[in-house]
Amino acid sequence: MIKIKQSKEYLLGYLFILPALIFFIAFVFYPTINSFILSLFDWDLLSDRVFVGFENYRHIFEDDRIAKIALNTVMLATMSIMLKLGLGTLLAYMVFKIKNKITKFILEFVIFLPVVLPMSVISMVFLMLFNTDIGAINGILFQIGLPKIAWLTSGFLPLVSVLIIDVWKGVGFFFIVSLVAIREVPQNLLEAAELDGANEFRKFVSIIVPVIRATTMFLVINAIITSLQIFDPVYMLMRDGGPGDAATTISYYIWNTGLYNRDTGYGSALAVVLFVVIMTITIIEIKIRERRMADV
Amino acid sequence: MSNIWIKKSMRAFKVGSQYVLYGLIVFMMIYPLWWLLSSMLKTSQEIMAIPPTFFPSYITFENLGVVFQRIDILGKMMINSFYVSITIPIFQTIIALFAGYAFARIKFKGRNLIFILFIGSMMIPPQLTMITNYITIANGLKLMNNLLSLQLLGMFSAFSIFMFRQRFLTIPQELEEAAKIDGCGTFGTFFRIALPLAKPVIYINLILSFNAIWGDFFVPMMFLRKKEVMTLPIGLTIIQGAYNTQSIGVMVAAIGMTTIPSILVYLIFRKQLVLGITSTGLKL
Repeated sequence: MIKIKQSKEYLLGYLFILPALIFFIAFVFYPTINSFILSLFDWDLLSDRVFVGFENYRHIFEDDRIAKIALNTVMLATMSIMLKLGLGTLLAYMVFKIKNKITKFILEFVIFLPVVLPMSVISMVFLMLFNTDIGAINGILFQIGLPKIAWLTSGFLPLVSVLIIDVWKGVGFFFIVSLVAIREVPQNLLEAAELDGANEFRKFVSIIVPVIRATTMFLVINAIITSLQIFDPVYMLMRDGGPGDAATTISYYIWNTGLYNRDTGYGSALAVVLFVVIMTITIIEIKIRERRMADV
Repeated sequence: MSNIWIKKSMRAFKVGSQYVLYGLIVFMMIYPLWWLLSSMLKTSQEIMAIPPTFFPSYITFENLGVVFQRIDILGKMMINSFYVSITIPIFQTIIALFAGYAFARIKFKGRNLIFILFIGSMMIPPQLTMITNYITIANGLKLMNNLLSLQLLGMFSAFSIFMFRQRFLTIPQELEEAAKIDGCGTFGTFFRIALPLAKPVIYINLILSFNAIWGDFFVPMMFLRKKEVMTLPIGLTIIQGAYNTQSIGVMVAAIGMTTIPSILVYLIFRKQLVLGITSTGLKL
């Protein structure tokens, strides 16, 4: 009797996860395994595929674009995480300190607003704003007497433009999470610090930052994962020819090679490497956090 | 006397500079959006004017008019966008609800392994799966230029499943046991006890998912090549290519129309969104 009941429960469990499992296997699990296989072949999606072993992986070291692209990706990801986390926390503490309710509401409202806007569309808007000749950003610079800047074409500036778009859009997320964390900081802790003569900077560094750090594990992991995958603004920037590889990131390069130029083998090899990098960083981050938690 | 005056003016200066900073932050966060929305009512010449005007010097509906004249194609894209942004969240939520409940409350063999695989899949970049998914959908299922391609790829969300599982774990077990004693099976308990208690998370999931699909660019770019099946974000890039700088106004108007639903979602559901994000620490 009990056994029957248990096995029925078993079946129900499978039944409940079945739809999710089917889609997971078809569109996540199988493609992941298959991309390892694809990375061992040379294939343009049309003719017969040719087995080439690890040739595609070896090719990564000979690709003279890859150093620049990897550097772009790492720079963009690092700057993006640091700026979003840093500015987000600072803004949160600033807004937390504001007493006037209306001011507080307005700031909360506008800082979080970009988070919900579609990235692809926002990128199009920013590219118009960044335009050297007709863009409003140069227009404002001109108005206050500064020279025009070739945001989208000159040197490393295209990468800076992508960074600005990403930080503008994403800072609100870190802001709101930090704000909630700060609200949970025991008030007497801040008051005690104040009695000890701590200034705002001191309070921020020695009370707010540690508290935030404890709550940001998921946030940071998530930021690493997403910032290594920045695609939409780079794509929009590249559409009109783009400034060479000045802003090319690995996720754009993989799409461009693997799907657009149909070099599926090389594209897959690059994607596998990106996946391994993301996984390694995530695991290291989790381990470091675990150790730090254990120390405390 | 003068001492007090200095102190007072110091304080006024401090407060004043604080508000200058607040003003600057508000300006930086809102300007791109203000530029977009106000430019919808400007002429193309004024949009490109240096220095830029903050308010339209006179309001024109010319560009919006062109957008509406082209409504046959833009209207279709908008319908496509709404269609996928409504159907995908509904089905995705139902699938995630069942799976989340199973992971939280039903014991079965392999549960932990499957759960870890699901959670771990959040680390997989879309670039890793895109080629195989392209082959499956375009060549295998022959769904090129078919919105079903977007729907199939949108059904599974590890994050939603995780979010629902977390929610179900917080429901007191005694509640469910009481329902079981009253004769409810697992199904009954799920529908009568668990689902009603998960309502807030269901709403959050629907809103977030709507927003994500509405703005999605990567998947539609892979599968939608014909104008009449495109969703708005991908359609905009086509329109962009067809116009020159002289008609930048039309482009701006079309982009603005695409952004407005997201802004409305924010205006209506701001509280739920903030709550959802902070209670789960999720991405957008």
